[in-house]
Amino acid sequence: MISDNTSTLISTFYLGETIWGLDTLDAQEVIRVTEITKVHNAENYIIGIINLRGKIVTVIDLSDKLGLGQSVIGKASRIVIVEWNDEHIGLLIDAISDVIDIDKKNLTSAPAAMHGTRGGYIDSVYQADQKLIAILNIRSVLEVSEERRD
Amino acid sequence: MSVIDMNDETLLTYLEESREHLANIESNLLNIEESGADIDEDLVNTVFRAAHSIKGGAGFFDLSKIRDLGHKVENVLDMIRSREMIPTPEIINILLISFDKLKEMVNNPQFSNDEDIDEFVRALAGLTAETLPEEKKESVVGVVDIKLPDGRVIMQMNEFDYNQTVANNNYIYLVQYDLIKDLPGKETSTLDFYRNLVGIGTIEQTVTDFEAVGTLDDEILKTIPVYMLFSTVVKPDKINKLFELEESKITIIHEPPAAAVPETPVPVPVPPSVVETPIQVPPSVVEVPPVVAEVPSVDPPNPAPVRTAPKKTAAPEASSTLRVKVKLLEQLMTLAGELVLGRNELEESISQGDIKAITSGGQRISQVTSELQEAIMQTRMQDIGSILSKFPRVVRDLSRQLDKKMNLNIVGKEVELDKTLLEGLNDPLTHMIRNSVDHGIELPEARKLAGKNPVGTIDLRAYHEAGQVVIEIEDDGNGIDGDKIAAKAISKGLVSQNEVDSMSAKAKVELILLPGLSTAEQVTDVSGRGVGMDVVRSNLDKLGGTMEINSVMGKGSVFRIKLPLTLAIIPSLLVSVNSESFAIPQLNVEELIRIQPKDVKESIERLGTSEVLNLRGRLIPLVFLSDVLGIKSTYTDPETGEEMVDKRKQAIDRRAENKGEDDTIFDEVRGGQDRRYHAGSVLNIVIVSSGNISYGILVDTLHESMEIVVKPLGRHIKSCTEYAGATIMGDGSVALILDISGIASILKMSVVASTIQSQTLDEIEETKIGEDRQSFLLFRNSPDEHCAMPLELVGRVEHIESSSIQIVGGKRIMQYMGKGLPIIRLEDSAECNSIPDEDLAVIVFNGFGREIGLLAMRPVDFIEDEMLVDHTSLRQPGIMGSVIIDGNTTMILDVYEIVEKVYPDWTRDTTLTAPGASKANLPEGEKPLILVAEDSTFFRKQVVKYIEGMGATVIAGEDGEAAWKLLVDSERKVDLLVTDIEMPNLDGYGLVARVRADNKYADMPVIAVTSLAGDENMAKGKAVGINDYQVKLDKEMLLESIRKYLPVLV
Repeated sequence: MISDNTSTLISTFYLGETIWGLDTLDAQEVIRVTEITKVHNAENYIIGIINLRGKIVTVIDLSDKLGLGQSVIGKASRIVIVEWNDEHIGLLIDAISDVIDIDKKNLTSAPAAMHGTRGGYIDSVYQADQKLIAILNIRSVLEVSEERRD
Repeated sequence: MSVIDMNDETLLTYLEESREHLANIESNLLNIEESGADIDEDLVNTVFRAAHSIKGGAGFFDLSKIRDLGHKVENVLDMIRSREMIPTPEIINILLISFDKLKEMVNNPQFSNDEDIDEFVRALAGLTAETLPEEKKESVVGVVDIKLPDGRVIMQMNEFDYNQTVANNNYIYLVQYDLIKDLPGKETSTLDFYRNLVGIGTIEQTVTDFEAVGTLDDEILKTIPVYMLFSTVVKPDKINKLFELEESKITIIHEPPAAAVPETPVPVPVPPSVVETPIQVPPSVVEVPPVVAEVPSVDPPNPAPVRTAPKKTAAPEASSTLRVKVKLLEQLMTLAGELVLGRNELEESISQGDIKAITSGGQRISQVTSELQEAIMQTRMQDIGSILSKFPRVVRDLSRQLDKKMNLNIVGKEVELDKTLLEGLNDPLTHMIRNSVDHGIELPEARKLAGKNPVGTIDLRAYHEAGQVVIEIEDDGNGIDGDKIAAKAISKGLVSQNEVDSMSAKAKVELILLPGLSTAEQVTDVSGRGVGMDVVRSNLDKLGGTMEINSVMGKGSVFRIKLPLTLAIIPSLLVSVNSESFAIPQLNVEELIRIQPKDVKESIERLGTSEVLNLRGRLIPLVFLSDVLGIKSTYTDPETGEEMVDKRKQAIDRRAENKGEDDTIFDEVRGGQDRRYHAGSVLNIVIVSSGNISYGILVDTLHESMEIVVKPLGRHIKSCTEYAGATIMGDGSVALILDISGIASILKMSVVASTIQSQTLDEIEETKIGEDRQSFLLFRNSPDEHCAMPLELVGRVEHIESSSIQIVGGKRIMQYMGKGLPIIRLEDSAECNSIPDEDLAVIVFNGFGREIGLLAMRPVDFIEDEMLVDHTSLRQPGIMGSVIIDGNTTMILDVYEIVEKVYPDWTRDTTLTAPGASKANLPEGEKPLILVAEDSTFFRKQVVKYIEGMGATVIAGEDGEAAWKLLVDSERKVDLLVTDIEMPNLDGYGLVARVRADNKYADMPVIAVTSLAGDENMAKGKAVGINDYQVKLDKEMLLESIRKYLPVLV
């Protein structure tokens, strides 16, 4: 969630050609793509698990999760580690951009859909010079759908 | 008034000891209650001593409220001990809540002196007064002044307590000492001083003389005089050895009278006198019953304020410390020493560059490390009993409060769990137990109306299964109405009608786990607090546990919690498929098998769409790990990220294809299109087992076995039941740990799905609950004749040549393991085709006290399913009925009938009266009458036939209710009950519980027949009163057992 101060820091990154933002408070760290162990039979958008200093971290293909199609891991790809409900989760992104200091006045509420994804995943939209940055609602992105096994 | 120094080590020791004393009191009191007038002195003594030492210490530290309450409790216990009082539930109640209060105060000693304990003291005093002779009653509320020689009243002591002390032939001293001058100067520490005192006597009270302390204006505190009332058997001339004080500071308040001195209390001719003060309360108040009624009681009309609204006390700090056995600690020390030695050795070797020495040093450290690891893990393991043992009290209190009757049976207290898990488990379990008491078990009247034993039963079981800890809470209550829950979930907008429509009954019941759903129609203060099972579930989630609910309306519910291996370090076997590594817990690994390509045909047989391995006669289903996980077998180099993503996509695609795919080992091996195996490659099979299920997993490569640390998986992967967790390998990479039971359940579902296609969904739903699954061995008698026999009966299956069978005296026999194995054929008793001479197998089974072989045609398969058996159409000697399997009418053989036909003389010794009179001569009335309860017609008929065959009269009912009716209506005494466990309406446990509850049948032997003869079931059965367990259709054992338990015939 965006804090209540008038200005806030947003980490921006690319998924394909689109630019996205994440409250810096949500992002713990950004790491290079390391060896990912696949988890077969898991949801499509789960790439696998990695060893983050002894912790097992699930890595999610953010692009896929947002319905933008699967990411292709390239040289610029990174994994953003976020903490959610006492668990560390990795978000695969295509490239990291800047950390920008934004004025909350320039934030508008999320449209029903943007960049081809559900509005529910977007917390708000920041209007920068020429482009729109969609700021993620990380909780709704990471919410595990209640699936029943039988 | 008093100052409690929470840093005082002596005090801390006392508190710690008190907590220990208090820990077991509850269960001891409950046991005392149970024994009633038949008092177990040791037990009462244990509780008495606990109260005594708590009181004694409290006296020393001037914790007056703890002391007073402790003293009162002690008095009551003393009377129980001396059999002046019989521990009725009411008395135990008062003791329990008093100990609760003590516990609360011991946990918060700083505030204990401000606690209001009047209610408790009055209740306890009421108890003591009740049993006292009339003339002594007054003493209960009377007070005795304790005076110094100069007449100053230093303290007061309850008269009754005083008399008790006096009656024990103790000296009572009033000791004056100074905390500043007298104690620190001594060589002994305060703790030792305290220990000495408590060791030889009782500190009745201590009072600090604040008047003498002076005010803060005085320069420095020079003196803190303390008066201690101390009772002991030590004589005045010895007492000062203990205190080392000036004689004038010790005043003798009471001296035990020499041999024949009049009764107590008597002012003793010693200067400081004891003066009885007038009774402060008019004697009429001492009338006892009203006093007792004022007690915080748990009787329903007057819900106890103390019980139902326990004060939120600060959580005891118990969790911040851990008790470790000294032996274990010493072991840790030794290992730490070893580690240091190893390090030194290694450092030296490194500095010298001696590779050989470095290697050996490394080995040594590795060895020590693993031992150290094990020892440290052990320190964390604790008995689950520590949390389970509080539940009898919880259940007892709650059930009294709710006016219900029930028993709680706890099995598996010794199961060890990691401390962290144990702590996290406490709340969910408590909540669930409360739920079972509140919502599960019905009121006694309702139970009676439902034909149940008015006394409900809750079973709490803990056991290890497949490397997991399973905790089950089972009640025989009203069950959970899935439809009601579903309706509520819909009304709250948690699920949609459509979703509910497609749900199984079980899934509906499990909706109870959804957040925001509380089922109690009336919110009670017991378990309905707006939060419910969803909290339990989220707690379990944190521990990495899962929960499953099985409930049958009117019959009861089972809540099953499975806790995974989290936090544990487990030995595991590493395997790989397609260069991906997986770990299989060693616990699940039965054996490793490599099959050479040329042997594949011999060893592996086909069953429907899958394969089974014939392992020394056992048929073991096989599964490709790559299929289970949906791994595309083509090797892809995972160097670049691109390919990884691609591969994942394909893996999913492949999984989808796989549903209709019928790829088998045969196709692969024979067809040469094998993706997985090249010519000359062998099959690597890991035979795994979990619970009763065994199967084989085919992998590409078997690696070494190693110790791995189990790490939990994230929430997003939780739903993948094929994994138990993940681990980090030596090179930093991550490997998944396979969950053998999870994979089994995934596979089992698919087996069921493929074999019951012909049945409509409704039928499945109908048969799901209470219906027995039956396993059959499938084979043929001739190419067109499909046969089956119950798998339970089968010992082994052997492939044989027809030439190895000899005919001796008209009977077939085969040399087998150095003995002659009698061979029977279906055609020996039934009209059917002759068995050909080729592709023969012998099915070896036990019967009539020996091994017998049935000739069959290969291949031999097995099936496990719910079967509808037709008992009439194909019935003939040797064939008990028929069933349709995979579209073939399959005859179910009665092998015993065939044997009887071939060897008629063998059957005689199974009759009841053998070897004496023959059964035919017994008049009807002298035959024992045996009642059989069994829901499946197939099994019922078989069991009845067996038992009738042994010369007994049999009556049989199709479920527990029917059997109960037969039992009650029977004109003759029923001699023995044979019952199934899983039955609709009233199951075997329920039936037996009802039988046992009725005095008329209390002595009747009960034998349970079941297809699930696990240890936990047996334990449960024993608990309700089942004498013996037998596997269904194991005729010999069953009849043997009946003979053993049948009362001797007159």
